[in-house]
Amino acid sequence: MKNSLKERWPFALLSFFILITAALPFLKVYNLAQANTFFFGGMLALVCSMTLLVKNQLVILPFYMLSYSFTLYYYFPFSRSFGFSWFSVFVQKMLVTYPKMISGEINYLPDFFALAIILFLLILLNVLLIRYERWLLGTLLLIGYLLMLAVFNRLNLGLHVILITSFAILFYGLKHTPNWLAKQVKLKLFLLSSTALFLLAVGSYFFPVLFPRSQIFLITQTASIRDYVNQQGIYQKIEGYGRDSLATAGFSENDAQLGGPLSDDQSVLFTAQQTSEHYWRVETKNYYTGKGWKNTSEIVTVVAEHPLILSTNPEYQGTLAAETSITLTFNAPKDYLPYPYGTISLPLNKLGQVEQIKDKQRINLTSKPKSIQFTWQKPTFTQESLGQVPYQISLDEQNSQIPLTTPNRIKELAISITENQVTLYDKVKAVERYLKQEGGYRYSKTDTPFTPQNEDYVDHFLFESKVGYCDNFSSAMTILLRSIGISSRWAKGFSPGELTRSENTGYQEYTIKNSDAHSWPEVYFEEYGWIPFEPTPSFVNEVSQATATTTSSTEKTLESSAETTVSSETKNRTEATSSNSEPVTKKNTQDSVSSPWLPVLRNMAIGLLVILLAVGSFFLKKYFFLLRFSLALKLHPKQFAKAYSLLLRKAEHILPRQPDEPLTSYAQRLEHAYVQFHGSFIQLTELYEQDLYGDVKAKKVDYAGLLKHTAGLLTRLK
Amino acid sequence: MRRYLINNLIRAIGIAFVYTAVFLYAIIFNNPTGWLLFFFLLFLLLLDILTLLPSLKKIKVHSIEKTIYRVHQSSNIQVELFRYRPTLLPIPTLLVFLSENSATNSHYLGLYSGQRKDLAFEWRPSQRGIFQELSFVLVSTDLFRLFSKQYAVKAAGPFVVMPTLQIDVAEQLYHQLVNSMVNFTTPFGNQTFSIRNFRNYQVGDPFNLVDWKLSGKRNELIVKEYEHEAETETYFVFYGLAHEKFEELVSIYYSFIHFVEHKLSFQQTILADIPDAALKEFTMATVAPLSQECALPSYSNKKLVIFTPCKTPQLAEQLNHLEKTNELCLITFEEGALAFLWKDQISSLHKGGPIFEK
Repeated sequence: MKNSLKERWPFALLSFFILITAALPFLKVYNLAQANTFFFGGMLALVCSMTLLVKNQLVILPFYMLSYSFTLYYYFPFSRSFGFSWFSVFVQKMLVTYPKMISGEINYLPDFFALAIILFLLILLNVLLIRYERWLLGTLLLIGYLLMLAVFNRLNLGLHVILITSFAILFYGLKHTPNWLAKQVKLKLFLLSSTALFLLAVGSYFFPVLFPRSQIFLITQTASIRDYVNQQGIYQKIEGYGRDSLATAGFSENDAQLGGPLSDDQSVLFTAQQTSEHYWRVETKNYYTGKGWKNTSEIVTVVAEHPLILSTNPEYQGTLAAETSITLTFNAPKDYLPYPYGTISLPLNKLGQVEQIKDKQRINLTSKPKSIQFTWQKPTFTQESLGQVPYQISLDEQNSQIPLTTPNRIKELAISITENQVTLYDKVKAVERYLKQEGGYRYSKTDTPFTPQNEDYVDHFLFESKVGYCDNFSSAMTILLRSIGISSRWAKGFSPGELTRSENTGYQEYTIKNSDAHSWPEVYFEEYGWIPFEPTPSFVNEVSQATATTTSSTEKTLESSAETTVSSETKNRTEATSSNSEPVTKKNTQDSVSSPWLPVLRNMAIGLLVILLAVGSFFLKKYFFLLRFSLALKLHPKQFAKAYSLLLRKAEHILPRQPDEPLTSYAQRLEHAYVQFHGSFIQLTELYEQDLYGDVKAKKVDYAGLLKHTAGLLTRLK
Repeated sequence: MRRYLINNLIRAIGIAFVYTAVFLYAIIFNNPTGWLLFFFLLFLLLLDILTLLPSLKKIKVHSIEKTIYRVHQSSNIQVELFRYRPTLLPIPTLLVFLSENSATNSHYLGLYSGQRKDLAFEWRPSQRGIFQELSFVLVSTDLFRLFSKQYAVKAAGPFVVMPTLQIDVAEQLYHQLVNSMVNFTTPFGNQTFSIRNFRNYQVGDPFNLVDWKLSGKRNELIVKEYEHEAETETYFVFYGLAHEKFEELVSIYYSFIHFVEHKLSFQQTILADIPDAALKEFTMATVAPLSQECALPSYSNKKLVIFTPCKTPQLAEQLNHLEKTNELCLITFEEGALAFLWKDQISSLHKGGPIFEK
């Protein structure tokens, strides 16, 4: 009894540490810590020591039950004394809560319920760990639990997780240390592993701080996995857990504070029957606060005219494409109207009251109809004609506003990007290209950090994080253009959505989901109006390139290299999904003639270098001795004794020499073991002894060749 | 595949599974907890593998005493464990055992870095012979005892393993022999002048043997015993035919010789395959069955004790021939039991398993 106790107390102690480390964050999360953590720890210690001391099931089981209920009572006394009345109240409460949780009335775990479960689990694990010394299941369970706790409650439980892992490893090591090992050695081993674990923990804590690039590298390489998970809506589920209303991650009305990761919501907003795909604009915003977008005025006017003719480019006087009809069917009633670029004609007779906010280009459908039909005419201006618009500093103050707090380096960047371009269109395209391809910005909905409190949203994205999604790219382009005096504003709506059905009549059905919510910049062109651009990587907007598909092939060849890809891009149209972003990046590499080969060449060169280094180090290791030896011979050709001692040391690596073994007998032994020396080593040894004791200086002619030959043989042996 | 490799593989798969889970957690949720745990586990594994690195190949095992071992008989074997150059990192735990008899009799060394260590192992050889090397197994683990590696190291011999010593069988055999052949132990031959022993007078001793001078001094009759120079007439013949009982016979013969070595003067004839290199005293360690029957030497006027695993017709014929001129006794196996044949008498010997040295 005493002996087994002596052997098992370290396990019990480690088990107690494991359990208490897991229990503390739980208490904190459920706000039970303020009661008294010492009580909980003491209770747990008592349970652990009882498990260690008492083996009789008849004693220990009632003890478990008593301590279990008493701990529950301590935290939730329900103003009763500890006894059956309290117990019945507690059970009743549990019974009342359970169906509510099942039915979804309560979508989180109430604290008393959680404590009951966790306490039960802790006692169970305590038996498993101490009585049966089964460490794996228990610790994996606890670590998994803590990891989930960290996700759902946005806590940093790194220390706890590491502590539990360390304790578990010590537990395992202790269990696998043979009993008959001397106690001192055991203690030494235990201390050594604890120290190693401690140092590792410290090291892993400081590693990301000292070498942030490794973590960033891993994060960038794995962005697609997070995108995939985001698409599955897992982040959203986690965010929504325990809240009454789901946080809408998609089209939101408030853009005053932008930034932070975005979780995908795959719920369908509406479907559209139409002939060709296009962006859906809902509204525009023109006032940048440094943190997000606002509108200066929001005057609502009730639309009276019938039908409502709405044009995105009223200034445009040119021809319009043929009229087609678009039918929208909303999945859930919405009060905004998504509309394409061009001129639409909206019959109002079936829609009830329609409001317009002119300043935002927004149409509100107060009656929230289930479906809407309108006609659409696409404008057909060419890129050349847009290119003819001269660049001049805009006088439109509202649409070239920049807050005073915005750093000046944005303007410097904008100038450096656009200084080689002359026309307005080229300048805008240069900025677009910079953000999309050349600037080294990464698209990710999940990795985008929140903007620090005292920093500008655009500035932080452009110069620090370099990771963002549509809001970052569109805002950055707008502000970059505004900083060089180009009128631009921020538009939001939806990307074209997903083609879900195609009919023979030429009409196709597009499904637009909440995750298709998008934003992009618009630039004002004299006589053409507001033209949308697309700086976000992996997105393609047709409107500004609409002409590219209609212009003849001869015109295309005249266009700049960046534009020639437009038609192919439109064919390979991509959607907001990251899985489809591949073709675009492929196109991007084809765009610029010189750049695609550079990274490939660089990678190849690095790979080649690594291989060369590996091969080189292998040969260096093999021939290091020979190299060193010949160097020594070159430098000191006269020092035979030194050369011989080098050889001897090398030979001793191959065949160990007894400390008191004479050189001649060693040489005999070596030659016996390795016949390929053919007496050369013995000969050298004799020469050496003569040189050393016989006062006969060895002649260089005698030994030079012999030394080299023997050194070569020794090298080959190793 | 060897067991420890399978164990390692299973553990590696388990660990890889946990690592993948943690890595996926870290990259999916991208929170500090996940990254901290991931880096911690990563470094842990790296350190662990680092501590597994020290090579076992350069650890030497030397036997430090020369003793004779016997089959199925455990005896201590003393070895010395060392490295010529100490390891850079100590080996966290090192398990040393004889590869022949599993890990039951093993030594654990903690934090071994190449010091000289004297270890004693209990060895029960299962095979007779002279072995030039004995293989020991070294198993080292990493610091956290997740993985292990194994290396078989050879201790240079020679290790002589003699047959099993069955003293009780030998004793029975001896008594049987003495009982059957009455004059078996009586010394015969010509008296020499060298005195072997002085002893008290016993009734029947001839008076000319009394040393009167000494008797006068001691006041009692003292008798001189002279050494008798006699042709050894007792021959023990080991006739090693290939037979399933060969090993048993080797053991019995060896035990018998061991038993009578200091009691009788005799000569041995071993008819079996003996490797050239074998030393004479270790013959019985290396002896192998005859590939074909051979003729017995022609003895005359001898006391012959022939050990043979079975009686073949050819042997029977030779024995008939020898019986005419010699006193002949045959020890062989009859129906699985050891039998003693003398002058048409067959007496089987009770054999109660090997009982070792008394």
